[in-house]
Amino acid sequence: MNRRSFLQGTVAGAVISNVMFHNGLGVAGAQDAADAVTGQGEVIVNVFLRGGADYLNWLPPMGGDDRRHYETARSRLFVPAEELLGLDGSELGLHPAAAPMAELFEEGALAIVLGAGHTADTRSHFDAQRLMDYGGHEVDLRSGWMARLLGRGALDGGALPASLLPAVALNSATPDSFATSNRVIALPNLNGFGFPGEFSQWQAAQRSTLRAIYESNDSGVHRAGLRAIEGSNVLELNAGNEYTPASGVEYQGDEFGRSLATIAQLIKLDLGMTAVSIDIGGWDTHTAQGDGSGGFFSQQVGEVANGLHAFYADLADTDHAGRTTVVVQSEFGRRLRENANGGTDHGHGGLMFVMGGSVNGGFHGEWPGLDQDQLYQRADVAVTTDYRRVLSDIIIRRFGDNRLGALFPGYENHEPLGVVEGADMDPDYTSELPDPAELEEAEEAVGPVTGAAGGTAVEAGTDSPVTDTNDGSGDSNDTQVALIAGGIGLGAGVAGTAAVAALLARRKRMQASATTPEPNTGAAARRVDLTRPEHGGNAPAGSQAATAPAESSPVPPPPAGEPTDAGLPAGSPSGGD
Amino acid sequence: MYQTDTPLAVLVLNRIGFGPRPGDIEAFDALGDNDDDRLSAYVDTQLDPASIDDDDAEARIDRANYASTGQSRTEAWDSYVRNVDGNNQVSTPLEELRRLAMLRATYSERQLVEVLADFWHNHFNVFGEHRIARAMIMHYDSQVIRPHVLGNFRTLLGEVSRSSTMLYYLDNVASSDGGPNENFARELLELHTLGAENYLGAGLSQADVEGFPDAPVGYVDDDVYETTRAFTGWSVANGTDSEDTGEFLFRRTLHDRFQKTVLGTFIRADQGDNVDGEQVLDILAQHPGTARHLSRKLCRRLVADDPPEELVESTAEVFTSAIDDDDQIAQVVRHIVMSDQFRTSVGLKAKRPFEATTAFLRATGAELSFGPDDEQSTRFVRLYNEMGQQLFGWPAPDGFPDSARYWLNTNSLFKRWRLVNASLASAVDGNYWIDVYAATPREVRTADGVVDFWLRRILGFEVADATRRSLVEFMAQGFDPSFDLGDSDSTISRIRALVSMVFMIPEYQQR
Repeated sequence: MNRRSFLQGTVAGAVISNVMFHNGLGVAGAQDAADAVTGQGEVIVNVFLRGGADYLNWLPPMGGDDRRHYETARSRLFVPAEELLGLDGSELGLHPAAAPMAELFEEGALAIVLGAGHTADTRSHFDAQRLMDYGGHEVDLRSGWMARLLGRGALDGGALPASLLPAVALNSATPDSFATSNRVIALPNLNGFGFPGEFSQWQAAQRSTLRAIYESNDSGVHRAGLRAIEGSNVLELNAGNEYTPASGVEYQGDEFGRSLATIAQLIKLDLGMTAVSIDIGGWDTHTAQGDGSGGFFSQQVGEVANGLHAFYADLADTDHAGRTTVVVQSEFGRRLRENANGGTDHGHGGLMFVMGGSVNGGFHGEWPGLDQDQLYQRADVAVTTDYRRVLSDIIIRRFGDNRLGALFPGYENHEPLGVVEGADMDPDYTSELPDPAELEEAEEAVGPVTGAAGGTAVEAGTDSPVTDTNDGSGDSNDTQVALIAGGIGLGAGVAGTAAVAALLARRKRMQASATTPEPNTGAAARRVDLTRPEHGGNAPAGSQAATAPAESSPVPPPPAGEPTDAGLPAGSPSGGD
Repeated sequence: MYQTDTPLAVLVLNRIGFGPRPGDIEAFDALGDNDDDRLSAYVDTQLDPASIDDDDAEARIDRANYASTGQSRTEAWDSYVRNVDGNNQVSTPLEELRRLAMLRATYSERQLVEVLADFWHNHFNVFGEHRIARAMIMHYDSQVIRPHVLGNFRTLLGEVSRSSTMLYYLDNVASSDGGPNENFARELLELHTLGAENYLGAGLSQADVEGFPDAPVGYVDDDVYETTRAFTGWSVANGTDSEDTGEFLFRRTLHDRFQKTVLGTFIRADQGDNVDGEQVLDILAQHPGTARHLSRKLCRRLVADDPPEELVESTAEVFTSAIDDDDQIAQVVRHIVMSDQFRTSVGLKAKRPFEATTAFLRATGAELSFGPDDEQSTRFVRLYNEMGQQLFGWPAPDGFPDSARYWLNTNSLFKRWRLVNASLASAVDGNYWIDVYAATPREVRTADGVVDFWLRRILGFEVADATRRSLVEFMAQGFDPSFDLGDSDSTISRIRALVSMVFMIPEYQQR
């Protein structure tokens, strides 16, 4: 049963609006509740490779003049042509560690946008990341593009879409793409996100007291606290629930694999999640990045490729595949010419990957070329496709929203790119960017239940400190349903409990369908904070041996830096673009 | 939600320190008859750390028995880079410094030094897990950063730029004439000195910059490349055609000997060893953009996330006028802390996880050894790390963000709650690690009394009525707030849970 049939089949309209009204997370009208049912199924997963990924070694030219330019400029780092995985007869081939992406490409599930990037003149990580997270550089922006996407229902004075868990940042904090939104849960993983229960006798009372305190005023910290309480209530549904992906699917034990497994789990729970961010660090490879035969960069690419493949396969046979779109971007590509330390310095243009069940697979955009005259400032790959063109394409075609003036202020002359299926719309550049404070206010207006919204006394009877003297964790489903409904602010009535009961039922089904246990996703590997590029830190250092992101998995020493014996292979493809 | 009459002591102890211990507010108030006198007395003492008896913290450090403290650069290099004894040992300096830094913030009387050590570590951030940093970071802390936290900026900048830790972290160690690596040069300009606000982008050439050549207002990519050339050959004696000591080494054969132009200043060809780089550091340290960038960052740390522009400007003037003084940074800090803007900035800063955690330990008088092998310390630090601010764990060179918007997020708040609850419930055979029940005076047993006692002790200022009311309701459990709750098991455990919540409320998260 998917979200739509669940809502249509088991909960009457009035109940829908009650759920939506009183869940403390969204919406202010029956029409919006209906919209939520039919229009809020889309999920965008924004994977940001922090540090500037070396796309030239991810998808190098296999033949032609550009192959010559590439091998000349990267005499030590180039990936031998015979190791590359040809795509669709083009002259570009994927890095061998990206083999799972080649499979996705062949299946038509992966779009590769050539020459993608930002159009500002900067080679600073921090400038470039900020402007791409904010979604523009032409005007002074104070909010992130994902925050505006989440809040877009309120842009024209309307209401926000309903959701139990609108957005998740798979990190210990939220990246700037979500800046000013208070609808985002930041969490490195699902472990330990239940309300602390050390004082078991008082757990429920602590929760309701804190909730009352965080509801009693309006500020950034109040909103974050409420969001934390609400999020824990929803996520406690999964307490102790080992996630089992679809049969035959195995996520790697690395950080990205674990993050995507968590996202797949949340998507399948039908919580109404719209936007997800995942940051991966370690791309700032100034030294000893390795070549096609292995090394640090190869490992990084493998992590991304394996994760994307597993995620796609996990959702492929479900209703969720078509509504889930993954975008992979980075703040810039790296310089065409390698440096003397077996690495590459900051560059400009790069690639974007778009993956999902509604993706129009294949190449999009224009290959910028590697001839001197084609390079940006005669040094870097040029940008031929504004990253916002890709994002706008997805938002128009998948989310059916054409208000680019509000979503990407300063971005104009949008042309459809066609990376995903869906109908094109004329962009509306006149829609206005809301003031961040207004955006927050709009969200607050549909925030936690207040008396006026009809959800009074939500804590009473379920979370009452006086009556609740058990450990509050609830052994039975009934207790848990009531507790969670109260905690979320769904209201003590039927609507809230029905919604949560449905969630629990889904969880049970997921547990029942479990066949193979997931690899241990325990907290053994520390999550490196990934909001920023991993300068030198994760990139191998100096002339010494490579260093891995986590101490537990040292990277093998980089190859000696000698190119293997391959020049242009005899069978190197020609023609095509 | 903050009362304008919050005592100055509370502001000072939370802003240029890591929160009040029991008795600290009274001690501050005893420093003078009025706020002006108290503040200048406190600040002048803190700016003269040698005058402060810190025997207790020193004794704790001795007892913790760290293996990697007190080593010279070459001793550290020998121990943790050259002769590594198994995989465990290489990270000993990093793991020990993570505990030592928290020990000092919690127990040292030299609170302002600790605040500034944290500031400069983030300004000159290195990722502690980096293979050289994890070995050398104890030395980086004790010999490169700490001697200069109140000193001269140019001196500090020079020490950092010559340190093996930074030379490796930003890849300058092998940057050469034939193979320049621009990583260090770019961050030197963008982060360490002028700041991104003075980066005019990749599109301009040097001559296009306003004020060029006499006083260019900012820098462009050509300045990055020229700076890169100036620092070619700045390296480390790592055994490659050299001794293997970890000391700074200028490798003349790798240096780009030809002339350069950085920020409009012509740098001659064929100068002596190190001269090009030192000259660039001089140019950068004296640029007005650097004065403003550093002043803004210090004001952001000490006053507000978005500090008043006039304070930034007046601070920059002090920075510039004291540019050659040995106590340049102390003068700058004093100017900021003595400003009117500082006085009126109550509640404008968030407690980051580091401050929230150390202030918790200080307010409760918790005893924690922070010893390398102490299990309780290990468990505590692990809970702390969950909040997203594992010390020396920020991978990028810009250091941990310094804004409420970043830190008051769902995960950080949630993990704070977990740490506090877990700590105050922690007991072995009925003996509590932090016994807040025992610390509650016997005569304080009404719900009103318990709540007010702990609010005053932990926060020292009045919280919002709604906050207090909810806490009292929790404590009273339906009884009259003035009813004596006695010492039943229920009351005792409720006191512990209540104190825990005082560290969970919004008022505690800001400072």
